[in-house]
Amino acid sequence: MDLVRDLLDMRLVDRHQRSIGRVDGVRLELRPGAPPRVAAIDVGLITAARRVHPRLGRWIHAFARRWSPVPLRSVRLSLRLLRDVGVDIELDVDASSDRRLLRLEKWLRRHVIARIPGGGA
Amino acid sequence: MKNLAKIGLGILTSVGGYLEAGSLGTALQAGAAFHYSLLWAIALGTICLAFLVEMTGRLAAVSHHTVVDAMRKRFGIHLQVWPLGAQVIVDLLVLASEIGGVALALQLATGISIRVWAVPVVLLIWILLWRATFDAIEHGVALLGLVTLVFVVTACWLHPSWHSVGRGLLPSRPPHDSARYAYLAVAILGATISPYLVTFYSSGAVEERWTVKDLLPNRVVAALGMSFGSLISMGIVIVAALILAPRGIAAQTYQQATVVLSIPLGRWGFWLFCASLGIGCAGAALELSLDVSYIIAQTFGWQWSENQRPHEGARFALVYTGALALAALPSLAAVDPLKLTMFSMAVTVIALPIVIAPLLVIMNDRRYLRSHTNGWTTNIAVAVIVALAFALAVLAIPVQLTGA
Repeated sequence: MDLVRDLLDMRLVDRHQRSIGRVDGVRLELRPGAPPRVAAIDVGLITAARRVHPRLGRWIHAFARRWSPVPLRSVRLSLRLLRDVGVDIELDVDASSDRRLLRLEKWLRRHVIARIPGGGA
Repeated sequence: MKNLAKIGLGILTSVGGYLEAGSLGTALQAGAAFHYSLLWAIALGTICLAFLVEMTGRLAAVSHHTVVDAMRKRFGIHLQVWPLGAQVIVDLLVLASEIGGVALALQLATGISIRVWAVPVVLLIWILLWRATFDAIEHGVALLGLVTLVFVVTACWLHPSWHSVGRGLLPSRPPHDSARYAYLAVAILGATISPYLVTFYSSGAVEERWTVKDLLPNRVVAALGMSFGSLISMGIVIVAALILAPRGIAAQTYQQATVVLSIPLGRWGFWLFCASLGIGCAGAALELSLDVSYIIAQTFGWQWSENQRPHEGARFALVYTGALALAALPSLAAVDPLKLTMFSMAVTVIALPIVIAPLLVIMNDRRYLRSHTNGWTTNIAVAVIVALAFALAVLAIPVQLTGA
């Protein structure tokens, strides 16, 4: 697998084809005497921002710690969850029940959208 | 048969949705100041737009990627932030111009200031997106938008000299005031080659799950829809040249420009002008608000759809909500909508290469387009027109701003 081309920046979907973000970072495991191996993928705004510029990553981190209602730290997902690679990468997770995923989305839905008329289900 | 219906609907939507603040404002000023001699800029911009729309449709049909999807994957977030940032800025400026256009149409009709109308206009657009789905409103808006054909009908009815009109389709030396001539050419190119149409069209194509079977209808709709649409802009130039120019009306504001229809058509002309401005701008404002949500959602891998309810995409809905709130500010501050429009069109042209260059790279990448990569005509046409527009902008904008 060519890491940069085949993994990084791909869209991630859960087993119901619901978007859960993009591969914002790739974690490598360095092994003595063997080529590095992909250990996990990172999903989260701060990881993406750090790739744009380390300072932007620090700013968003500081901003989120002060103001964000939910922690914005990136989620680390094991590659063992990988089910299918096509236009998107499908992971064997369920976005609506997995508490690590879509934290901000779920918080906004419950605390903002539901309070605006017409926003509820 | 199914293809024919698809093509017909596609063309109808393109024509009904063609006119917005940018194309109306620039065409009025061009006709008033330079008669037919800037028609070539509309033709050139339309050729470029048709190529771009065809390209993004083809990208969607072959690779099932939207433009933003492909850009993030091909270039990575660290490079993609540039086209994304440029497009968000352009989208917000143009959205503010459209909101100003709707508010001004209401000011013309009622005599109540745009400052008062700004909030209800933004609320109405927001409610349409929040409560209804775009799928349900897009064809209605496009159908109402056909009122803008009044400019084409009036242009023919005024019996222009078709020989002079034809001459205007070829670039010529500016008759006078070359700085203003170049600036208007830039603004027309910016109004015609709107980057939001590119991302918006590509999102629609991916959502409708186009396949290679759609390549032919895509090509026909891109070519005919955009050409028919551009006839409206040309109609405005012709009417402005015949009505405004001889009377020395420069169309610096929409208020001055209403006579473009009320002189030939009377009271009805006035109402048709207000309706064209209001409906055209409202349709574009709906698309632009959604487009801001599309490009941000696609960049970060959020769920997106023209048909999702707010609770299905909380961040998606809050992005267009925020965009609309921001874009209402200039109208609340009573910034003149036509001046804002002309400014936004110039900024669009400056941003064009940042958005279009990466798209051209993708359109030549076999990993995305397989055997359907761009031909050399498409590459050269788009690259040359965008480069020309950009060069013209670099020359014309400083002169226009300093007033030299």
